[in-house]
Amino acid sequence: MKIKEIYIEGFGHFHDYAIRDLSPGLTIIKGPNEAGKSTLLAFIRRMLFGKPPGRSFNPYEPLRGGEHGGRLTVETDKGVRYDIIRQGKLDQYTIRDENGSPVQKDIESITGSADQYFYDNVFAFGLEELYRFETLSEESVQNHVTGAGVGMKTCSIPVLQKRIKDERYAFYKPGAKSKPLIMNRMKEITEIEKDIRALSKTQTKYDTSQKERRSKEVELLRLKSLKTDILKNKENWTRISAIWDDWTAYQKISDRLATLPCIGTFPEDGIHQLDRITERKEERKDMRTEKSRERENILIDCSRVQVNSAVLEHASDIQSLERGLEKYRSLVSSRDTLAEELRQAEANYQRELSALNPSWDDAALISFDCSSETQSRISGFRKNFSRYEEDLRVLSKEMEQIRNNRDADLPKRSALQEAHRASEGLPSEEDVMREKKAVDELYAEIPALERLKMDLERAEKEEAAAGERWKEAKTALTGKMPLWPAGLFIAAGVLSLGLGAMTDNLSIGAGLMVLFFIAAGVYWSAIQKHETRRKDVFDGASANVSGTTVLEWADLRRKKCDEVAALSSRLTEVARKAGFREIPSTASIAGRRDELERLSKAISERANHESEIFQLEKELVGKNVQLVEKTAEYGRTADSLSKLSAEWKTWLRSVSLSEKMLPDIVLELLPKAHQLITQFHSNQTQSERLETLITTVAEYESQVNSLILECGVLSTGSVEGDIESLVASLGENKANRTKKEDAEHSCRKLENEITLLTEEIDALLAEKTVLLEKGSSTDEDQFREHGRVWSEQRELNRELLSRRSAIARAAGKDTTFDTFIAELETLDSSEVAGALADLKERLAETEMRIEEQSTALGQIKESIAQLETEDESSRLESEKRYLCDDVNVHSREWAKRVIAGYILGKAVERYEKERQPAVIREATDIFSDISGGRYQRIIKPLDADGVLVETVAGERKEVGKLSRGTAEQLYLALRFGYIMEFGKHDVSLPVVFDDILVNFDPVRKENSCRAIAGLAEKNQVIYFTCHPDTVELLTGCVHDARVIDLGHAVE
Amino acid sequence: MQDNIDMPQPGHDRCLKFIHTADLHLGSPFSGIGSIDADVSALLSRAGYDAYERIIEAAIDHAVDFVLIAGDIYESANQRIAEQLRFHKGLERLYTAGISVYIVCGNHDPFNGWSREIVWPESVHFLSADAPEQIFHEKNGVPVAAIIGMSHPKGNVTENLALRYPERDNDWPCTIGVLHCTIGTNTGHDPYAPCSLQDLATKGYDYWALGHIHKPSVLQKQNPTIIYAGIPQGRDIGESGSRGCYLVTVRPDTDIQTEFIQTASVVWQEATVSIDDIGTLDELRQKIETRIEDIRNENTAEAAICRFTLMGRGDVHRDLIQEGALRDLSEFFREQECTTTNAVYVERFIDKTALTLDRKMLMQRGDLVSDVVALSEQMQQAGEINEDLATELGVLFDQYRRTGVLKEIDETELRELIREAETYLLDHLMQGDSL
Repeated sequence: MKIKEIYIEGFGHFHDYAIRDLSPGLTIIKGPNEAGKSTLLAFIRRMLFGKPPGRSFNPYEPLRGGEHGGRLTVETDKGVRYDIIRQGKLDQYTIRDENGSPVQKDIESITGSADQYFYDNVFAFGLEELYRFETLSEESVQNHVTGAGVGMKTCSIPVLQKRIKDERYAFYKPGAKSKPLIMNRMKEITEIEKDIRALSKTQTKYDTSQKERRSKEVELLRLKSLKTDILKNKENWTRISAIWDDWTAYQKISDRLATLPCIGTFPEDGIHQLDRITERKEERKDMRTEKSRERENILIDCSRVQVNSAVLEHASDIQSLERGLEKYRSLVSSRDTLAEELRQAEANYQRELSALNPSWDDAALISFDCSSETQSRISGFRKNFSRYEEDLRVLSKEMEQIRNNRDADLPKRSALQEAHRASEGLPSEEDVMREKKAVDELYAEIPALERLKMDLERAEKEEAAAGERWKEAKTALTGKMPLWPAGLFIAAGVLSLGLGAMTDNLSIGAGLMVLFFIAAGVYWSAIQKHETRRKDVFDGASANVSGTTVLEWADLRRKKCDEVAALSSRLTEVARKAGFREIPSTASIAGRRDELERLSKAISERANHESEIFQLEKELVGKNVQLVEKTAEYGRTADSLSKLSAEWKTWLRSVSLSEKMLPDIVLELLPKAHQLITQFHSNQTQSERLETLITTVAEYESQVNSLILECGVLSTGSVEGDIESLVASLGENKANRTKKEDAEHSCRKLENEITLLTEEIDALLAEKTVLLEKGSSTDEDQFREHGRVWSEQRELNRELLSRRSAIARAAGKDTTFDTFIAELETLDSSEVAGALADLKERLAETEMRIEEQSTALGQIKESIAQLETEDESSRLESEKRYLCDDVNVHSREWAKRVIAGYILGKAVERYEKERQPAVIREATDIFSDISGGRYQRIIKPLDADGVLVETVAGERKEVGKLSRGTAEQLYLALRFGYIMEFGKHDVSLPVVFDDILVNFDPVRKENSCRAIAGLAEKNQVIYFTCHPDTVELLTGCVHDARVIDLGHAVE
Repeated sequence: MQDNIDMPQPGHDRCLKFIHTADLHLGSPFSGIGSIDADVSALLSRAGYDAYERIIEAAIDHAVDFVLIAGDIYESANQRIAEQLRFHKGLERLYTAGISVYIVCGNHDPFNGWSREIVWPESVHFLSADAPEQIFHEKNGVPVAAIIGMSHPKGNVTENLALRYPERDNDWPCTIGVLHCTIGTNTGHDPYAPCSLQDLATKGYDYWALGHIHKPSVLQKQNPTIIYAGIPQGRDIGESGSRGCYLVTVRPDTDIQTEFIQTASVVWQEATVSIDDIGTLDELRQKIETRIEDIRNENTAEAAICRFTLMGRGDVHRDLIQEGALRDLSEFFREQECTTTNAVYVERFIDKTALTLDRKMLMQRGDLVSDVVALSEQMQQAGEINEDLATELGVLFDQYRRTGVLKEIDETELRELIREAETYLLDHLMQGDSL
């Protein structure tokens, strides 16, 4: 690596200072003291390796401004250029490529494996470092030199050795406080083995458990057997206890039976039978007595009952009447109601009939046809009446209207006629058109005429003027213009007005008058002008004019006059056509035009009038015709109406209605009449019904009366009462009859029963006798006694049998009854109770023990089951095996590192022993050169840090025995050796010497310069010096050395 | 059990068929379970029993005449009952199927190590530990096989038990010797009941059903046929490869056919992957994936647990030596297998890779690197280390020797470690360099 350029931004007294184009070989930077050579040396060191360690170093703060730091442009051995930039914090750097772009690169990739110490002491040093040999002995230096042999760019030997050691210890380190991996694993293995041991021996546990299980099962079996025995015993005693009462009773019964007499036979249930017989007999006796008494009572009652046969004979009638009573009541009620209703209906009917038509009676009403035909007919009448009346009304209205219209048109026609007459004096339209045309022509031509006239006038004037001037003196205009035309005009105007008034064309007249007055006015003004001219002339106002001019003017005048005349003539003709006598003025023409326009309008209006008059007259005629027609129609309709009226009246008379009645009234009357007729019929019907009711009621009453008499029942005065009496009597008699019959029946029945009862009693007596015999008794008492004994015996026997059975059951199949009895006879009650209690106690105890054994057995079985399926220990074994495997793997890793450390150590040792002298050899050659051959060898003892030098004579000297200069030369030679050795395997760093030859004598200095030159062939060398001779010597050795002058010292 | 029970006849053919198995090691733990997922852990925890069940099934399916178990059924030192009861259960099934079982006890389950409370089915015979016991296996009342075996009376038999076996009698039918023994040296197993092939061959038997060596092997095909059945389910990477039992068919002409029946649920597998010609870690992953697929396709068991050894030289070595790199690689592949059937689980990756380097050139450098290589070479060739290093290494092993956990480093392993140490050093010394 070579430095190409140095740029200092701010470092010491340097600010914005650059040194460019450093030589790849030797660059000599010269300058006096304080020029900054040491500063530059420090700058190069700092730029390559940053700040030195520790605090005691010169920071070279920028004294002249700028940011602390700068840039070093370097070129690697491969020719790649980089800028190493440190600014601000010199520990931090930036590397940029030759384009100035930052690159992600470590500075070690440029500087190699050398560190700061190594570089500062071996590559870039001054006198101070040169003289300290121990700096070369530092492990760092040694290792770098050694490491350089392996191209270690990023890992030094010490680092590697430390790493190996650390990794070893990570696996295993005896006595380590924090457990390395292997020791941790072994601890885990120990723990697991402990757990495994705890879980092992399941076979022993299993066998033991099985033995225990069998033992428990045997014991359990024994206890169960014991329990069975106890239960059996208990059962026996329980059995005895259960039948003890039976046994006691058995004994008592047996004793009692022995005391009872012996009865041969006795009928089964004999007492009961006897009792029954007796009971029955008594019962029958009682019954018989009862029945007899009953019969007698019946007979007595029967004798008291009376029956009316007549009533009974008429029972059906009575019943019939009874059934008809309700109906009777109903009929009576209906009758009364109907009578009342009928009365009211009748009254109502009469009232309404009277209201309807007082002249009507029933017959008339009945005869009145209220049918729909009648209604239709009346409706027809009404309709026709309405229609006719309506027609008449309409016709009348129409006629009125026609009349009105007609009358309204008359004045109109008169007005039109009047207007027409008024416009009779109007000229024809053709004339008017002609005149209008003429007027238009005039209007168009008169300006030309006027112009001509003006020309003429001017000509005349000129002529006149000229003539006046010419004749002024001579003549004056003669004569005055006459006034009479003006008067004529005025008269014409007045005449026109009057004519207009006469002909009702006042406007026309007025217009004409205005025209004539205008004409008069024009003429009058003409006269005035003439007079004025004349006056002027007479007053001498005319201009002088030559005769020629006058002639000319005269010619012109004449010409114009002719033109005027011609035009005037033509226009006069036209004016005449236009109704002027002569050429009118423009105003006249305008007036004339207006007049003609009015005439035209009047003519048109007259035509309209004529048309309207015609139309009106036509209409009037039509209306008159209409009126006549309508009148005729009206007459016809009135006739029809009359006829209809007559017809209507005729009909009214026919139905006995007032002739004044209108169809509407009659139509209203119809339903009422119909209703009344209906009412009439209804009344009649009701009346008939009433008759029927009355008759029916009377008949019923008659029946009742006759029946009362026949039955001999007292009448109550009313039909209902009588009926009730009859019914009651009937019922009573029926009942009596029935009662009598029942009584007789009962008597007969009772007699039969009494007979039967007597027979039964006899039978019972006989039965009793037989029973007594069966019971070996003569009388009842005896029988009963026998019966009692017999029952008791039987009862006792039964009970005895029952007790015996119980005892036999208690004895069981295995024991006979007699044996059991014999056993029981040996026992007493207290003994029985005691045995039972004792057995219960024993049973409870045995059961408890069985429970305990069962529980224990269950636990043992569970334990066995667990042992059979236990696999936790297997899992632990697996884990242990895994850990063991892991430990073995780690142990190999550890062993590998141990071996690696050993090999490395040996290799370093070998290197130091065998290869390090290469440095000495290099140094020896250089030292020999520098010393001029005085010293031929440098010796590095294995067991010493220092070196010895050997003279040509073979004399060895320690460094201490050498002069300072020679020692420095020795150290310089050694450094050269290191530099060369390092450069063989690592980056060839630039070598920087800070005036290190100062203490060398000239010869040795020259020799040293040659050595530097030799070094410069392989390494870039930058030599700082303030000595010109050194510069000369170096440049003499290296001809292409670059010399840079730092200049003056910095103050 | 009732006496005089007529055994149902398992087969109608005239061949004699039996299953030869040994070293069941029921309940024996598996290595490396903790590092693999729960499903695999469950699979491993029952794999031993599953293998045993498969042996039972095979015996029943093939309607064998009897089953020979040549020792080490379980670890009696642990005195656990669960394994014995599971074993008993399987024997019950064989009894139900009418298949006899002849057992010799091994060093792990000597005769006196079994539970006294277990009542074995009638068809099960534990051969005597006092002396070789001979039993005739009869079929329809006719002896069809003579089975001679002797159980280990205790756990550390060093006697050559084979010498005590009787020589075959002429009128003996197919004669089968059952023995739990060690033939040869350096078997990786304790040399209990040591003997030689010659010892076995001279007895004149037709078949020797051996146990103790866990790797199934046919030591001799005939005259006699001598076979180690091997452990039916490998427990760790040291018991890799197919594991099972042997179905032996003895024809009437005494021709013996053997058929290996795989019984392992989990097959342990060692595989190597070379990083030669591999430039990146991704390429390495792909190569490993390919290898895993090959293993998966070849595997006939439920799962395979594989230890990968990365070999070779290449730049990928730099990635592999980064801290946690191998662990991350293992986890990467394990995660992929989480939901896969016929899974291939990575037990671990062993890095034996190194950078590509020219040793000759290194040694010619004349610097520290060359010294390291030279020293390493020298040590590897010597196969031994100097006293200082041995003392240094011995510190760890001496401390824990009594625990029996740490295996001693033998010569081969030492050479390997030296080589790895060299690689380790070169990795650090030559970071950034390429040769």
